[in-house]
Formats: sequence, structure tokens, C-alpha cells
Amino acid sequence: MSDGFDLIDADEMVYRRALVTWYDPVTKVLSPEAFKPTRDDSDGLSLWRAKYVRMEDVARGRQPEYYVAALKASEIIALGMHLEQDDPRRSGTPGHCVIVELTYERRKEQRPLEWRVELSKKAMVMGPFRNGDRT
Amino acid sequence: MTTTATGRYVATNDALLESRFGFILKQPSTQTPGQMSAEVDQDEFDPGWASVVDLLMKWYQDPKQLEDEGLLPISIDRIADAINLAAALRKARKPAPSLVLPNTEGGISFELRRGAIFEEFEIDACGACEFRAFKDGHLAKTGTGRVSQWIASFSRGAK
Repeated sequence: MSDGFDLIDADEMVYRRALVTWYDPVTKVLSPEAFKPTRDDSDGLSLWRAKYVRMEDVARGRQPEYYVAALKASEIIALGMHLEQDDPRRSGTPGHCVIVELTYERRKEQRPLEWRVELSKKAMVMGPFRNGDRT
Repeated sequence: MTTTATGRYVATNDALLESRFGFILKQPSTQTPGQMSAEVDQDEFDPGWASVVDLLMKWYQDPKQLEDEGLLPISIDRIADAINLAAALRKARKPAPSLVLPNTEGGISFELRRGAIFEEFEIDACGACEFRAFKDGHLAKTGTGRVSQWIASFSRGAK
């Protein structure tokens, strides 16, 4: 495993945490809300590279459990978006990357709205993981 | 709200629903399906809507359960807006959403996916409500207004 500066390969998987209310396990429908940038996503939508971070660790937070949405980098690129590796010296953790087009400022524009819907259809959803789950 | 032996929802907090939101979920008739009168049929509701109202009532009673890092908290007023919108959509015989969810900005969304169509009502933290319809991934229709305006439009049979 490298130091987190390496380029993202098209075959790599990337993860995004999703609230349990954003996914219906019966119909297998994931809400596009899972890909909506928050105020913290001013540089782009935060994702985690499977190469560096375990799914169970992505699924940590205040809620008792979370799902994790998984996408292949090539699926994101095929939709016309770009994935950029975050500087691990800045984030403090290797493996953090962003979809540069999905920023908080652009969240209500037409194309980002459409991308969110497409990402939600393509994502594979894993979990739910309870906080502290370890395999 | 509880589920009966037949799997139907029955309101157990009717007084709260009726006083705050002006509607009530009625207990299903004990008549057999073949004996249903028009009046009973009028009172029948989509079980999907009952689940939606059930979920929203749980949030109304305890909004703190929706709090998470990175998300703005949802106010009681917005949850009440969502309950009232649900009641109006149900009364207008609209299909129940497939997902009802808190959004990241202190609002609530109703989402419905039907094949290539994806529709959403998004109530924001200020009480504005935006409708969006996507077809094959493309934004095809939008509409914006206060929740009260949407409710009024449904009661007029417009939109």
C-alpha cells in the first residue's frame, strides 16, 4: 500500500457513508441524498478509497448504524465527473478523495442534481454497519 | 400507531394527529372486502401513506433521533409541514413515496422512483418546497412554492 499520493485507478472502489433513512433495503432504493454535498464539501463530495479505508470505518458516526454506498471510480468518470485525491497531509488520513464537480456551492445546479440521481442508481449499498463493527 | 393482525396500520395517537394536523387515520372496516360500501372505500388509504405518516410522527415526537454530524437539525415545524404535505398528497390520491428522509440541510424529502422516472418533493429548512422530476436521469420538471401553496394546489386538484 502506498502513502496516499497515488493516482486513483479506474478499477478502484470508493465509499460514501449513508444514513439508514436514505436506503430502503426492501426495494433496494438508495436516495440521491447520499451524494448531496454538505457544507463540509466545499472542495467536492467526500469519498473514501477502498484501497486505504475499510467499509466498517467509513460507517462511523453519531448514529447507531449506517450503510455504505460503493462505486467504481470508472462509473463516476463515465458520468463526466472527476475524482481527485486529497492531500493526505491536509486530511490527516490517506484515502480521502473528492468528486470535484459536486461542491456545496453547486449543489442546486441542474447537472449536479442529475449526477446525484445517476450515482444513487449505480451505487452498490452495503450494510447496515453498526458503529464499532469489526470483521 | 400499531399494526393490526391483518397488517394494517391503526392510529393510536389519534388525538395528537387530529388536533395538530387536522386529519385522522381511520381504523380499517371489519367488513369483508366484498361487502365494502362506497363510504368505507372512501376512507381506505394506501398502506404506504400510513407508513409514511407513522415514520413522520416518530420524528415529530423525537426530532433528536435525526441528528448527525454534518447535518443541520430538523425543526418540529418542518416535520409538521411534511405531515401536512403527506396528508394533502394522500387526499389527492397521489402514490406514497418510496422513501421519506431527512436531508442534509434541515429539511425533509419525499422520493418516488418508478422505472425511468424519479420524483422528489424537498421541504427546506425555511419551509419552501421544491418539486423535481427526472426522466432517464435528466431533470424534466421543477416547481417551487411554500408547503401551504402546494397543499392548496392539491386541494384544488392542480399541479
